Formats: sequence, structure tokens, C-alpha cells
Amino acid sequence: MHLLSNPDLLVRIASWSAFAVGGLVLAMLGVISTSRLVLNLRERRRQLFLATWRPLLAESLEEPLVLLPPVSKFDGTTLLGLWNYYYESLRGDAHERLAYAAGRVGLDEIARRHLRARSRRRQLLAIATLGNLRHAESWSDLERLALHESPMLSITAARALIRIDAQRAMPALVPLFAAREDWPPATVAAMLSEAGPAVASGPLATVVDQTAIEHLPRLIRFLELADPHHGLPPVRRLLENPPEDRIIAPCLRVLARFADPHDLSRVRRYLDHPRWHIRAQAAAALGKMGTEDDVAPLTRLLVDKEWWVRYRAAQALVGLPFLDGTGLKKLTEDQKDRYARDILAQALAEKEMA
Amino acid sequence: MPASAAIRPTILVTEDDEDMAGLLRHILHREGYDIHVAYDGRAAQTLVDTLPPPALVILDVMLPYLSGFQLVTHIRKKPDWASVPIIMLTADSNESHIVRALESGANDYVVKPFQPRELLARVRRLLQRPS
Repeated sequence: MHLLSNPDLLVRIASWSAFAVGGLVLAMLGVISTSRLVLNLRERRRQLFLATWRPLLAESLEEPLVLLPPVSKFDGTTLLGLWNYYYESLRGDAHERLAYAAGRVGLDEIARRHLRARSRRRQLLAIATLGNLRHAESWSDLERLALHESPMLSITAARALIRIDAQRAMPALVPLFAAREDWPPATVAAMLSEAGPAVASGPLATVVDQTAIEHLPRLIRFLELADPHHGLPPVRRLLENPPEDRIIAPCLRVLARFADPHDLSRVRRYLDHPRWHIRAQAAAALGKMGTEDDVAPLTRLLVDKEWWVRYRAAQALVGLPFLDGTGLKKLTEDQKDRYARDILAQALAEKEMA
Repeated sequence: MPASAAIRPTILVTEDDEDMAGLLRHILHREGYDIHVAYDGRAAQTLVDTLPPPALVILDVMLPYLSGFQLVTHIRKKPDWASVPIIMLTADSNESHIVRALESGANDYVVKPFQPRELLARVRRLLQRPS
């Protein structure tokens, strides 16, 4: 101890420093040990809870359980996780039975409490639960969360709104589908599929005219999921007025998707477009809807200066239903250009492998 | 109708997710089967190498260490396991995935999300037991 009161200043500083560092190390060890202990206790509690509730929820799939044990506030998150996992893994009448069990245990109230949690994971669990429970009373909260800046949170809220009432949700969500570049297109497509074309088509077609040009290419792609009655008219309208180049390719994709013979002339006029990706898209579209009149223009594209155009034209020719193996072989042999022969041979080989 | 305890057939369930394994264990046990659970491909392979053949195998496709497809091939190579019916559980409804499962030697497949009753019906059909 007398080191701490040593007359030499340097010794005193060194002693106090060593003392402080030692204290700090001990304090850190204490914090780490306590954290580990708390984590272990939490995990043990979670495992005990799951050991009780896994069989209970599994049993509830067979027969409605009227009496279920109360859930303490410490176990709510675990129950939300387990219930949602079973709900997403199963289908059919298992959903009704899980919803009944949820009602008996007050899962909606647990989810409502979690909605106000600070933890993002708890919020996500709450939103998913409220969607799966078709909890219409939470509509305004979920609508607000669908506008949240976090893509994870907003997408989960949008999906929940669709599950609760797709018809009511669509008019509010379709503008977001167009504008939210941070929502992956595949995720939006999955939401539109879940809502179904009968519900999604009308709002999708209506919103096209009100959407800013920068969001249009993204929105047009989703029209492929609409029914043709709603999906085609806005695309035809857009192609009537000379549209911006970035609009043309997605429009051609929609025309290819529905393959209406009335749209053939609209597609053909883009085979000579100065931009190569539009020529490639037009060729691909003719592969889905082309007639015998399109063989010559597609063959001409086999010598395009862009590889992708040649490739799409070759794929289109190989995919035409009226060109059989003999016809394609002759077409390949007739090509004087080596690149045209090569790309046709490649498309043929890919078709045989598929 | 659950089987009596004396003649309970055994099912090997290979599923890496504990919650799903718990659910499968419960619904199959309730239906009258004894269940062995393996939580990864390697553990399943060990069970295949050491246990007598069960009445049926339920295999998840995506497993740690060895995939469901690899396990089917392994099972079919063992003479005493070669005729054990196998149901594959897959989260992918892609046609090529299903074709691959059947070509590997599986007898049937169930796509997640699934109906527990549908799974039980398929198990019963493969074991030719009345419902």
C-alpha cells in the first residue's frame, strides 16, 4: 500500500495506474461473467418453454386445446417465433387450428405489445403475427409501418396488410411497389401473387398513369403479373406515344408475357431500334408470339453487331413452335455468316440440354 | 388409428430444424410410430449405418454436411435399407428439384409448407396402413 503514497511521483503514478487497470480488468470480468450467466439462464428458460410449447402447438393441430398455460412476458417473443414458424411451415386447416390456439393464449395482445418494442426483431415478429392472425384492428399501425424507412420492416408490414385484406391494401401499396427501389422486385412479385391477379390487376393498371417516369420501368414489370385485360391497355398506351427508351424494354416484356397476336406489329417495329437491349427484348418477345413472317427478320438479327441481340434472336428462332429440328438445321446451314451459325448452334444445344 | 405399443413401426426423421423436427416427431408419434431423429446429414448417415432398417424414412433436402439427395443415394446402396420407402421434404416446389428427388431414389415428396394430414396420408400409403 505504501507504493501508493511513495514520495517518488513516478512510482505513485505507476502504482495508481496498475491499481486502476487491475480494477478495470476485474470489473470487465464481472460484467462478462454476469452477461454469460444471464444469457445461459435466458437460453435455458427458452429451451424449457419450447419443450412445453412445441408439443402443445403440435397437439393443437389435431384437436382444439381449450386450456393452455399462461405465457409470461419473458416468453412472449419465443412463443411468437415458434407460432409463426409453424404457421409459415404448414398450410390448409392447420392455419385455422393455430389461429384458434393463438386466440386462447392471447397472442394478438402479445404481438401488439411487441409492436411497440425497440428491438427490430420483436417488431418483425409482431407484424408477421398480426398479418397471419388477420388482425384488422392493427390496420392503421401496419399501414404506418409499411411507410417505414427500413425495407425489412416496411415489407413485412405490407405483406401483413395483404394477408389481412388484400383488396383494401392494394391501392395504398401499389404506389409503394413502384417507388420503393429498396423493395426487391422478387419480393414485390411474391406479394402481388399472394394478393392474386383478380385483386392486384386493377390497382396496378390505374397507378401506371399516375406514376413518375423514373418509377415506371419498375412498375411496368409488375404488370406481367396482372391479368391481360388490365395489363395490356396501359402498355399499349405507353407504346403509342413515342416513349422514353427505358420504358420500351419492360413494355415489350409485358407484351411477350401475354403474347396477344394484336401486338405483333407493336413488337416488330422495335427490331431495328438503335439501342441494342431493345432489339434484344423485341427478338425475345417474338420468340413467344412470333409467326412465320418473323423468321426472316429474326434471322437478320443473327448477324447483329451485339452478341446479346444475336443470342436472343437465336433463342427466339429455336423456340418458335412451327420450326422443327429439320427446319432449324437447314436454317443453320443456310447462314453464310460464321457468327450466325455459331449462335444458332449454341441455342440449339441449350434447347436440347434443357 | 394409432398402432399398439407392441408393433409400433419406426420412422427415421432427418430434419435440421429443431422446431420442425419436434412437430414431425409429435404428429408421427401420435399416429402410432416410434421416431428416430437425426439433426444433420452426418448423424443420419451414422444411424443408417448402425440401425436396423426402419419402416420409413423422412428426409429434409437441405441438411448440414450431407444433403437429402446424398443420403438417399447412400440408403439405396445398403442392401437391407434399399427397399425402405423414403419421403423427401422440400421447400422448393421447382419441378427439377422434385424430379431430382425421385430420380435419386425417393418414393414420394412433400413440399413445405405442407398439411400434416397430407404427410400422414402419404406415410400411411407407403406403409399401406388404413387411416
